[in-house]
Amino acid sequence: MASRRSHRGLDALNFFVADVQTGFGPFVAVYLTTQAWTEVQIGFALSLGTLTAMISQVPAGALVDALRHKRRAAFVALLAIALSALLLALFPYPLPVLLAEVLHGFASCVLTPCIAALSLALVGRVALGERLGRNARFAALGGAIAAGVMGLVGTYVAPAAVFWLTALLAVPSLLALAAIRPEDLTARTGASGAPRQEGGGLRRLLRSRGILVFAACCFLFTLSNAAMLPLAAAAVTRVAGEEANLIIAACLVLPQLVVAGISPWVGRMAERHGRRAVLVLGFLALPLRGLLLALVNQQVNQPWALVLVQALDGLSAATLGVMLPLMAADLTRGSNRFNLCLGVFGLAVGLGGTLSTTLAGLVTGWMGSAVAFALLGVIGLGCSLLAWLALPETRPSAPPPAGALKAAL
Amino acid sequence: MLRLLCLLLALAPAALAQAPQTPEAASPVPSPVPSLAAEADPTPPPAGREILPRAGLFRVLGQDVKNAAGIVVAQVVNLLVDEAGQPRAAVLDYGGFLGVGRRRIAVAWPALTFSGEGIRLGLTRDQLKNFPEYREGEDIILALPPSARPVAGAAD
Repeated sequence: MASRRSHRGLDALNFFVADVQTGFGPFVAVYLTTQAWTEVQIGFALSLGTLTAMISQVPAGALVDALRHKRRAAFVALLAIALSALLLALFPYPLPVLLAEVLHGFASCVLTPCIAALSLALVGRVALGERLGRNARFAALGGAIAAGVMGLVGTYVAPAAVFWLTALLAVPSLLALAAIRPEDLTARTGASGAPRQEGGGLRRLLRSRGILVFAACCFLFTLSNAAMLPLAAAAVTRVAGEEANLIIAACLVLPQLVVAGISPWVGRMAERHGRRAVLVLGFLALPLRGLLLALVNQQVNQPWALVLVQALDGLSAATLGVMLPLMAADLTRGSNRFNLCLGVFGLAVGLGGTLSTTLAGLVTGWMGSAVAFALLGVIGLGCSLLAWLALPETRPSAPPPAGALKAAL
Repeated sequence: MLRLLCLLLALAPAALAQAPQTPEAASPVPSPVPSLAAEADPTPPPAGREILPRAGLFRVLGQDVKNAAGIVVAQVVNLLVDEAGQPRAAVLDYGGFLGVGRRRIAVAWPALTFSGEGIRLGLTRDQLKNFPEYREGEDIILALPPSARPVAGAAD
């Protein structure tokens, strides 16, 4: 039975890690622009970061599987991310920035599986759904608050200040990590003893139908989801006057608040009613959102309607955020390949995200943004159908007694 | 993995080395052009020198552009000059929050003013509502302050 302190530590860790990661999104391009970087240079640096993150997903997952002390791995990864933020703030020149991007990409790929592995070790498979729901809740709260604060800091203080703040927020993350007691990380997960070689492990994973289908779902999900917010935000900037920044901030924060609100409930539903039901219904939010955005896009006088549609973003994000690690845990039951599986799913997500913005950009330039939204919605529908038709149910046969996690807390 | 990183790091400086770091507000000094038909022409004299005080000059690329209230609304990304060397437009990365929702638009040179507080844009967000974006390779749509008339020139 894990202590309250470890659970609170994990909550805080999710919160502060989300804070730390917020600055590394599209804002890096703004910062480099203010340092007089050309578009080609910025594109190169950001692509390198994305490429590193994609290449590192699977090896980093295998690495975390092989390490016995996941807390130490998380510790080093957090330090690396803080270092990359400092490099960006102090040395906005080509070589340090490239190094920062590569470092950040690899460290993020190690940190995410570590947090999921710590969650699994803390509560075991029985109450994992709800614990992952709590992870998603605190990560969303951290993301929402950080987006607001860093947006204001970036506008009113200086762009470099965002990265100083990011490096500073690594300190409470490390403290939260230290609060997780190693004695509590002993939940029986059914994993067999020594980890097998990576080559055999990966090939075995890729032969599992559930893993292949869910990886395809992850890919289609991000292919549909990733470009919807940038497209909608560009529409907001175009039609809204003075209040454009406020509307975009609302579009960023509202989905996070929705995720914070419903994630533990999503986890409980997955335990009680099975994974497939939750996935299919959660994924249906994507085509609905695509359709609504295509319609609202024409209403040039109602930019606030875009904000309301973003609430659906929260629904689908909560679904994937909770279910991705849960499915990975289910599908790797009895083996020590949980993190490798997370790496595979992470790679699918990365590929989908990269293709999504390219695809949306092409279709928008060619046929307008309403068609782009509709296309993204159709891809989301495909994702939901794939989950309905091809995904096996992976819930363990006996659902846990209601309140098992509450007792543990 | 490590070798791949080293390879990438080794290639990076070569890829980026030729891009200029900062466009200093340099004095208008012509650099000596090495003459290839060297036997007939005498070697040109060394470049002259003019020293300008730093105070009255402005870096432009990457600099923040503020609106009338003093709030940063954009960064200058590029300048467009005509054949006579006169600046006609500035390309700005405009708007957005935390990098999300930025647009690229071109504003006419007279819309910018340069003063001690930095670069100011004479157009408000409401005035730039629904303004078309700047696209490479296409004709450029400039945002003009409402009182200005388009300058007749070769580009129009």
